[in-house]
Amino acid sequence: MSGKRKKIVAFLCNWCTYTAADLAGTSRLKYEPDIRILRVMCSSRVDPVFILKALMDGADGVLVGGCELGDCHYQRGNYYARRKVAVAKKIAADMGLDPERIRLSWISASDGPRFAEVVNEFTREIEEKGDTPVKHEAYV
Amino acid sequence: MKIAKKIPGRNREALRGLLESMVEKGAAESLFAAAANKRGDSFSYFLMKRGSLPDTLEPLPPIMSRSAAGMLTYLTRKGPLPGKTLVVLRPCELRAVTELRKLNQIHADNLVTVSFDCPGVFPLKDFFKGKAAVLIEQHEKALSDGTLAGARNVCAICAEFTGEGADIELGFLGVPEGECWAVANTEAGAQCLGLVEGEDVGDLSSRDEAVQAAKERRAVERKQRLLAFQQEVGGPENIAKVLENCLNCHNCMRVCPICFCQECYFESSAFRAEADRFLARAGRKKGLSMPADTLLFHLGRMSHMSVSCVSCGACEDACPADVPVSLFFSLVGRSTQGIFDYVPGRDVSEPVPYLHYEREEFQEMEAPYLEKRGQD
Ligand code: SF4
Ligand code: SF4
Ligand code: FES
Repeated sequence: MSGKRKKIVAFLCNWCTYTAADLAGTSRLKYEPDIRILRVMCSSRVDPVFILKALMDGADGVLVGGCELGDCHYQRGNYYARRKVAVAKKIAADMGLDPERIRLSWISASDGPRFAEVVNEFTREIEEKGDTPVKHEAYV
Repeated sequence: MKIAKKIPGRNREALRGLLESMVEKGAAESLFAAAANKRGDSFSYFLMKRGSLPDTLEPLPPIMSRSAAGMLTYLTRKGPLPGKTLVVLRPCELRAVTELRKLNQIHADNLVTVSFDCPGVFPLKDFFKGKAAVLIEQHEKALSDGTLAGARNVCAICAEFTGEGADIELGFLGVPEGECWAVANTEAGAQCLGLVEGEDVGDLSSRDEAVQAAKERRAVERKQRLLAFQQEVGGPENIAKVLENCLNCHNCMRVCPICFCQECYFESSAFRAEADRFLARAGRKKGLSMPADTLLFHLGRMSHMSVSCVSCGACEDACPADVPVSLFFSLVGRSTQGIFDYVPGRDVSEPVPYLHYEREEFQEMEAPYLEKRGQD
């Protein structure tokens, strides 16, 4: 699928998934380059608006990454994050956007390989779905 | 202990009389309710003190100029009202008050709430264009029969139109002509209602039946109307159609009782960017509609507050562009509330979904990961 890259926006929590991404990089693990990473302090910082904004602006997929449940640096953040992702998916679906373009994954700091796996898997899924219908249209 | 009293007078007259006599008998130090202007063709809420009630008290206006819930936030932001205060609220305003109490935006100490069987109200614009006296009379009739022709979108499909969550609830439906029934639902309500004279209502069943029938009818109408609306707006192109007249003026947000933030994210610097960034967006798509992010403003408000949307319709009344905002939020609210089995305004002890979680829930949100792990 080279040549026609997708755009995937990833919001990764500083303490786990971002560290895992870093580790994947320093371990020279190969993963699909369609991903644009934004670091947030905790997955709960990801307002559903961020997800919807990315989708409206033409992202083909949005990944939210946080610590494993029970391991959030701020204790409960990822439980709240899960609720927020649930709302984002619901609103996306109501608006006729495919909720499967939103993915939530827990990846711990030491799990570089897992990070690469998730990115590859998600990229594949998004490639199968093709371009988001809102990519080139000017919606209000 | 539930007390129920017969209050003489036609609907609005009965409620006015009840309030005046409760205040006079010392049930409360102050009253928060609507009053009319001198000509009787415009209404707004007033804060009133015992001993100086205006003679234009009109607790059942045929329009809802602003949600009382928003004003109670404003009033009690720095602390509760000092003395007991009777507050007259429409059922949707009462639900909004409940939501705002959960969010610590209303100090409810000393508030004694009064609500009633609400037939709905007219859209503000229709009322101001029409003949006030005629519309007030139509509304008065509707109080008794429960249906208001020409009511606002959300009023016409409101299935939670009684004051059952209030300290004192006024019943108009299924009640003999020329009187109304006041029911105290709580101890605080009983204390106030106990002070006024009035024959006890022995048998409440005629009202219960009328309310039940109306609720069932409205629930069906609500479902059908929202379904039809969903079909109208489904898919990105159709949402664009609903919102294409939106001016992005943010009036809907400003009048929404649930939108309590003192500084709205959508008016913050997060949405300011250099011109070349806007230009880049314009290039990626077929142009960029300005002001930018109008749809995002609505999606954002949906994700921030639709779980608590009480379908009060204030947003739609305030919209200068006739966008069906309240239907839109009722539709999305129904589904965001649905994922948490949450009913805004139902119970003050039920936490709002964003301030609560269960350890074991929504595992389907993270499913691909768990599945993978299982296979490893
Ligand atoms: S969004 Fe509209 S209908 Fe819902 S609570 Fe706010 S003003 Fe009322
Ligand atoms: S929906 Fe109406 S009130 Fe809300 S921003 Fe648009 S034009 Fe203004
Ligand atoms: S810090 Fe990683 S999810 Fe909260």
